[in-house]
Amino acid sequence: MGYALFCILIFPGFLFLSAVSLFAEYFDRKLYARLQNRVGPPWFQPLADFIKLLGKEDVVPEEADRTMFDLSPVFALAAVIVAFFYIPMWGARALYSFSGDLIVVLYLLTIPTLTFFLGGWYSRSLFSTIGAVRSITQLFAYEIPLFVAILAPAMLANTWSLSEVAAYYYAHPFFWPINLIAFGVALVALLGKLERVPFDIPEAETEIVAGSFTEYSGRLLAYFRMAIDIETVVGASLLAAVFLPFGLGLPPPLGFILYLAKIFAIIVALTLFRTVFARLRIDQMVEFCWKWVAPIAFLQILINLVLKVFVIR
Amino acid sequence: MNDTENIKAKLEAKFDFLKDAVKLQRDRRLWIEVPYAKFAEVFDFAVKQLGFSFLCTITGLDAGADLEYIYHLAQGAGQMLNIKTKAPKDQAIKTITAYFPSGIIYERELVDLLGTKMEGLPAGIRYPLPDDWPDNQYPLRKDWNADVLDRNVGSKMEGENINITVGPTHLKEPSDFSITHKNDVTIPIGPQHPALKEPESFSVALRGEKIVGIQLRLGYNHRGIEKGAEQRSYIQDVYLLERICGICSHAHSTAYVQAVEEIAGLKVPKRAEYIRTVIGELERVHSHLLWLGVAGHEIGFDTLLMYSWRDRESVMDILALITGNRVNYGMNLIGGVRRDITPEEIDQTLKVIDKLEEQTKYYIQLALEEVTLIQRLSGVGTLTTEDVLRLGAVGPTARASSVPRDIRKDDPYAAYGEIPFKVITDDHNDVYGRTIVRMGELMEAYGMVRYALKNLPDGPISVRAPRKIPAGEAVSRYEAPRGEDIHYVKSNGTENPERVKVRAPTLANTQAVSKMLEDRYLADLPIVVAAIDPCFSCTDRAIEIINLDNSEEKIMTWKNLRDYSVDWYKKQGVDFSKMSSRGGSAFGGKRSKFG
Repeated sequence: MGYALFCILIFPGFLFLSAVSLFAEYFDRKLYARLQNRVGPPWFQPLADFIKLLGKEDVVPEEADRTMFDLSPVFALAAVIVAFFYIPMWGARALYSFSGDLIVVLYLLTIPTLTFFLGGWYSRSLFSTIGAVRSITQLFAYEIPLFVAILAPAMLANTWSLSEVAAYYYAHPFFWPINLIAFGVALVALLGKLERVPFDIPEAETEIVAGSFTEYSGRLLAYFRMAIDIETVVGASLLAAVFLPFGLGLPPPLGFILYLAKIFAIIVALTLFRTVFARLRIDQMVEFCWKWVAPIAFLQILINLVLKVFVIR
Repeated sequence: MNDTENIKAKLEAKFDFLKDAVKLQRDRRLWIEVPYAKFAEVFDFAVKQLGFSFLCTITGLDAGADLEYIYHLAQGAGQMLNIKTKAPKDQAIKTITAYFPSGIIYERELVDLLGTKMEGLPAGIRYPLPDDWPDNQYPLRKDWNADVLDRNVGSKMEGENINITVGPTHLKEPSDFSITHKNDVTIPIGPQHPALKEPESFSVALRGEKIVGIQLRLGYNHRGIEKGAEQRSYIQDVYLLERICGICSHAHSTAYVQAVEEIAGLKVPKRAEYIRTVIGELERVHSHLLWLGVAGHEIGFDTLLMYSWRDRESVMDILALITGNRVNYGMNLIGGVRRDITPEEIDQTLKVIDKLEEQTKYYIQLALEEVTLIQRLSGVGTLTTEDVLRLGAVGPTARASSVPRDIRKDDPYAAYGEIPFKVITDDHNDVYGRTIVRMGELMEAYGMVRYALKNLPDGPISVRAPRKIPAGEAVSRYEAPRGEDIHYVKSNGTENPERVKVRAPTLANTQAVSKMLEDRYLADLPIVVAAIDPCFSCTDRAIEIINLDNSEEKIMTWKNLRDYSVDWYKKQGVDFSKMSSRGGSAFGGKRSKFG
């Protein structure tokens, strides 16, 4: 019991995850700034922002639905933290696992987007409403490719459990490059999930101020931002676990370092996308996802099916 | 016989009463005065037969019992016909929006500022006065002063339950803009919005993501500059008018001094004209680089913003080096320029120009290759050649639709007649085309600065100007970075001008914005608006400044102000006084590398 609580609250649970997430935000901002020839923030900036926001007054619009408005950020935060426990980080086992946890994790990672929608919708502000609708529209565009991409390696491993997927690739160390196409698809979908450039359409500052978050302030905004930071790390961990399952047998300190290296490599990729692209329009984004990303994801499924039927067995 | 004389001959042949009454002020400047009864006929002839297809602006003047109107018409090759007419103050005049849809904004201005009764003017939001402006107060009339206003009106907050009795009654809400579908929403972009750098307001009606209606409200930046200019001397006005805009400040001050010089008959030395041209082109470089960054930001491409604004700093440094100021250069005098350019400054400028040219080539390559950039810019904000001609767009907005409208070529001023350059046009007709045009103009500007600095004539930099300018009037046209800037100056023989009228390029271009947004998406709005490079502080001028604060006036010198700010921050726990000011940071100090 004591150990379980330690795992959930401290390591590798909430506290550790928060620390890594804040560092990931710093890393992203600093790298983004350096790529743009700026100085960038000091290392404690995300933490300072978080603490400052916690201390600020919560301004809730009169028109807003108070319950939904308050609950949305908390749900977002809770969902991403729970998802983290089912993802194998170093070694082939996650903290908790059961058969079918892959599906649960994917659904848990959908919840933040739903809370962005609900929070924005119940803010009742025009900018928030438009942002909320855009969040959902975008969800339908990237979610299917993401699911398909992540199911591909699981299909090869013949399991719906993330830990067993990792175990499978631990047993077959040279199989992971097969899924590289799906990895690319998942990266693009992750950009959409995290609402980052070029898919930051729901928060497009120059059109709809801050989208769903326009009316959020203080503590609630801090939770939302923290949820997004954690979602970044959880998303990167998920991709690392499913698509980059190498070096899982390394002893703890080395394995841990390798895990961090993997997620930060994924964050570097996300930052690079942010640096070199302009924001797309919602219609262009949906078209891009359905025309290119989804078919490519299905291509991976096809490849894996063929491999499974004719080659591996 | 040249073109101008040709037009003169045609006018005189057509209308008997104009015999020997067409004033040829100089090449490309014609003035005629017609009684109002004949005005419609003459106007129709000028537009339809003589090919004056562009309405620059309408100037209104208070002439005692009458109001005087000057319709400034222009032709492709820089010919300008100024038709003057007069009507008693209580007599309504007819709108000319049937000829020029773009004239609507100039007519609204007349209605608000001079109390013209305009017959046939479509309903719409008033411009430029605030909604709670009292009736029957026309600030540009000579007998008007700000004392008649109740200064508390308009300062009350909504909900304080104060009955505001004044308000616009002559202009109603527009009828062509209404929500017709139950799923439509109207979102307010402005007066305060992250996409806008200056206050203006767009009400955008949306059906889903699609724009179905747009309503533009201008006037938040009115500072009373036109009225203010009448109350100051010619010299003071140079500095006042320079402050119309923080970016094309040189454009406004040059346009103004050129008009005054024309009235006074001053011959500006060649060297001064070259220096004005150099500053003008450097200003264009800084303005276009600024635009590039803003455009990048509007489409969520912040890397472009950071890069182009970094490069813009170096041209700002050059401007500071030559003129002593970053923004309001204070370079123009009536009769010349204030400071000479030294050989060292020329060397520095040429060096920076070389670097910037390299960078601009990189941006051009970027614009030609970057996929998301092209996706977001091409096909957006389309404005066909016909639309440009009909709506009277100017500057890069017009040139990106294959309309080679450029005052520097059409009606050369300063040294533009002697410096070789190309007018950049493009046939994309969209935001992408406007980007290409501006990038091309950057390259041209580098060449022009280089040429002007290498061929800088020797001689004095100014001639002495009289304090009192003889009675007369002149129109000056200037190709500002955003398009044609027009200043009309009328003198009455005293130290103060009788009337100064400014038509900034943005006012001409705002007319085209609604057209560009037809059937577009909300996501396109920021970039389409940004693509005309709007400058609302230029657009909103006129009217006396009303000081609501009756506190004692305090004069603070620069040093006082600086000390005050240092102390203020010290109290907040931040001490800036120990920081070394990086004097001459233009070229010394640590600078990040280009590229």
